[in-house]
Amino acid sequence: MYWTDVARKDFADAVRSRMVWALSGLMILFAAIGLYIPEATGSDATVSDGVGVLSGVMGVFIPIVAIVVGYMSIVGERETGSVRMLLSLPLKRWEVLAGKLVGRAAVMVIPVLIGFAVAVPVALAVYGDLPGTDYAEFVTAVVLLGATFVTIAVGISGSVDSRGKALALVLGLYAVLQFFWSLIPSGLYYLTNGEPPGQDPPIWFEAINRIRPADAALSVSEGLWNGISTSEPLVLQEWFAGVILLFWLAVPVLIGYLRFDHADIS
Amino acid sequence: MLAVETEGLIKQYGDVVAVDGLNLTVEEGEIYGFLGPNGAGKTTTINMLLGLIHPSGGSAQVLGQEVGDHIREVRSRIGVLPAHSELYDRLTARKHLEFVVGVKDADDDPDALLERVGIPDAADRPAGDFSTGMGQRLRLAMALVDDPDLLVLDEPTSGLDPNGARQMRRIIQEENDRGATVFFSSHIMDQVESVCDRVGVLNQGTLVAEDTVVGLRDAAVGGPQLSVTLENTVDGVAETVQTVDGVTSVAVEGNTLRASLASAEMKGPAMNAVAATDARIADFEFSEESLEDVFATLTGEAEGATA
Repeated sequence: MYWTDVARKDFADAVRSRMVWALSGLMILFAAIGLYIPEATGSDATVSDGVGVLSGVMGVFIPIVAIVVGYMSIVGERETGSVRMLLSLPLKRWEVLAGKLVGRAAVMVIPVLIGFAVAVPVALAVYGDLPGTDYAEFVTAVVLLGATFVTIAVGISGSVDSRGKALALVLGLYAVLQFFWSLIPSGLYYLTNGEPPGQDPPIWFEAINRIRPADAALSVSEGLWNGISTSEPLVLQEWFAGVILLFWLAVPVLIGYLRFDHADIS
Repeated sequence: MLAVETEGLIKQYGDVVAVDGLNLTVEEGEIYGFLGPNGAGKTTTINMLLGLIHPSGGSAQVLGQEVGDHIREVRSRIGVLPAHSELYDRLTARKHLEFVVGVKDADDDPDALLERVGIPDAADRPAGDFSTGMGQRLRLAMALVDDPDLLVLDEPTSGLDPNGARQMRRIIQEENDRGATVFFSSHIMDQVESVCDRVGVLNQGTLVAEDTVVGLRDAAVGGPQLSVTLENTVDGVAETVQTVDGVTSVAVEGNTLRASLASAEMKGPAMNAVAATDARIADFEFSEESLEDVFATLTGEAEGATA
């Protein structure tokens, strides 16, 4: 279990850099403000509106945080040369990668948990109650999304030999998934039907949308807390989103491992 | 057994050949100085020995194992001081050492190691505050964890002041006395003289010489020179000196007589031979080719060396 040494060292480094504290503060701020916004804007707001606002904000914000946390993890050590010290030790390359991945995932997830734990009393004070399951579902989705993007960022970080390439790849992927992905089903629908999709888009339309990690994470979390929607078509059931999420959790980091393992570390 | 052995080791980057068919042997228990100017391919070679970069051809064995399947078992017996490897700025010296101790399953005391490398007070300071020399000492301490059988030190004296370099040599000697093989690289010849059992000189990716320090000096062109300035010119002095055993050649230039000697010990007999004539000695000078000169000659850095 030598990778745990790497993970511990990496996490200690992040604590020393105050990254963990800064992120925790940021999460507390976001969670508290996000929950409070509906109350501030409308008189008959409920806590569900607060969670809804948070959900929208976090879908955009969490991947960016995860990218910042993860994209330098391996390539940063290659640029400073410290990875040569690591790899001169009795550590295999997968152990360095696994240790980095776990360390960075902790840097991502722990502040999220702290932030949303602190937000609980805020919600109770503002709205008088907090629907436990909905909130847990939301926090689970945020954790899954954060962990997924950390994994993607670490995988990309292991694949390349310069910070610039890592940043370009990871931001490119983020932009595609976050901003351009919905154009794919819409474009396909337009090409096949000659008109934009109406109120009731076909199954495949929704299925393509759910390939995005953010949607997959949300769906998986729904399934975990509320059970599987067995009446839905197969590709829209929550376990299928689980398969998609596993793809995102496995494939980028696997590519990263293979490329890192074959790389010349000079 | 050999601690390090390479056969026809090659590393090529596109058209550039960094290491060109290198045959290297480091005996177990010796201190081997791996010398060469910057860019000669020393670090590339070391990186191949450590399995960090993949050879383009040839083979390399470390502690009897092919570097291809260079695994935990072998690397746990090696202590490495890598060149151009930054420390973790925010982690303390103690954390650095605890990390290495943990990964190596060792039980070394970080404080004792820091004491040994001469920075006992640095344990709880983050490495980002360290001077270059302190950083290098910490790297050495990290290499010493778990009493490795083989120490691979890439430019260990870089960034050290003369005192630090002396301490580094002392530790290298101590480690060797303990039974460790030490393989270290340097681009400065003078630093290796006192500690190395053998040296290999690398230039443009190939070994241009491999010998003991004494052997290397002996093989060098020229050898020791004795130059005697006379107050008066006397016929036959050159001829007389020439007859002395160990004097290889004599040349006279005005009042100065230059004798090339087979070894430094011959300077006494040569001086006596001059004194035995009617010539009166005004001054004399003895010069031995320094290792630095030998090195420069071997690596084509000497002034007037063939381009």
